[in-house]
Amino acid sequence: MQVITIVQTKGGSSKTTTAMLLASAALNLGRRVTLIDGDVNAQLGRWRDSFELATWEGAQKPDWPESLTILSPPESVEGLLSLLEAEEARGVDLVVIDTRPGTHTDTEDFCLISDLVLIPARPVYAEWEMTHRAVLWMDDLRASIAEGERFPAVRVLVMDAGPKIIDAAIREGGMAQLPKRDQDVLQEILRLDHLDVIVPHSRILEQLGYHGPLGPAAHANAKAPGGRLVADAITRQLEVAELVLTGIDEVIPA
Amino acid sequence: MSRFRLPARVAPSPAAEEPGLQNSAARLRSSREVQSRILAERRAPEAGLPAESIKAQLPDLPTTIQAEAGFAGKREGERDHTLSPALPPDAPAGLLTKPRKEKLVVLFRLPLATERRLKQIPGAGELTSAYMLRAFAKEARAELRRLLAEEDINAHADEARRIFAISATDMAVGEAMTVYAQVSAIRSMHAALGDPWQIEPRATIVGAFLAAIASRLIEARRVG
Repeated sequence: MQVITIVQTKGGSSKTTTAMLLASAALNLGRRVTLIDGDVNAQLGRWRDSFELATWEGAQKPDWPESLTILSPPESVEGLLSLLEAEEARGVDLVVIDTRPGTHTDTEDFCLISDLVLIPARPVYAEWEMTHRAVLWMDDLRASIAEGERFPAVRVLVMDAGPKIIDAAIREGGMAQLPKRDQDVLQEILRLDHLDVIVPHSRILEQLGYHGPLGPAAHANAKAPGGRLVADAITRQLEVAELVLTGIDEVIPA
Repeated sequence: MSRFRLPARVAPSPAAEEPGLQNSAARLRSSREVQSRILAERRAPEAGLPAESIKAQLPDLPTTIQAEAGFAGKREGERDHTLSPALPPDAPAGLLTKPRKEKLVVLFRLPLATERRLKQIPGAGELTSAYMLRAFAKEARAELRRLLAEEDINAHADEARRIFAISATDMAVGEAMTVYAQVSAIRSMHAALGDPWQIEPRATIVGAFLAAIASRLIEARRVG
């Protein structure tokens, strides 16, 4: 079982979206997923409610996948450890823990019991410093544990990137098209340990609460009259999510 | 034994030291180091130097963080400025970084006698004294920012010394304001006011020079 904690010191930095994307990708690959919502906003904890309350026009809303469970975090570390053991015992393949913004000891506990800490980073000038700070926090945390103890891998994931940023990162000469400050931001983020996938900005990312897990949403829309375009967009987003999961599997084998 | 367990700790939790903070001073400083590196790298080609040589002259991040650890327990800005920014003495002036400025909050105060002279400035009748004080304070702040070394300081040293010695009851209190001053200038200001070891609060010392500059500006505008 893979345990991933998503950390960012800034709020609104795509932590919950990342958790939803990972869950969608894992479900599509037939894995059992448990999400733990450690954020005070409980946006992830209400994902199922948001999905079930949403009014879908045209398409028949699919059932919530049985292999996806969303839990609140236990009150204590012992409770968390027991919960993880229970989840592993019932055959869960992936646990994703969403955390609250800021630096908190409970977030550190989540990190320390994880296999991977994922830091979503939006390549925006106003936010890159927070990404850097989150990485430094993890460095400090690593320094606070005894030598020889296991520490999770830490990776940055570039999220919600616009087309110019993606061009700059993957095309020769693309960097020159970016304003200087955006070049700096992107270069600094890519200097950190990162997954080799960039998640592009899309409307689907903004509407994950509405669509629910992406696999069933794409399937349902594809069958609906006039739903092909939406289904294609969701499928493209799902493909990116699967690439992210592939990158994660390389760091922490499933 | 389950693989899920918390590892043994050998140091306090970083988050426990700064609960909930998103902008801890230590991390903010570290991030500023990165920003400084970017700026230095960007300036390198403009100055005709290869980026590598600039990088070699700059402290790398881990070293800087280690250096920061030496300032534990000190407030930001209380560090010994001779330790940082670690540029070689023969580095071309203005190439890597601009002269370092310190940001300070000072209470703008003027001797009551000087404040009375405001009325002798042409057009003073149409303005309140509070407005004029603010105007002179802002002008003096701009001048203060330009002061670099001992020669610049000496021009205001006598007046600053006099103001520094005046009792608080003989001073008109203006607004608290943010000012910037060069590190080298602050050092000279301390020395000029008989505080070479810099034990007096910087805001008090710089405040005296701010008032001295404002006094000189008022004197220059005064009729007669």
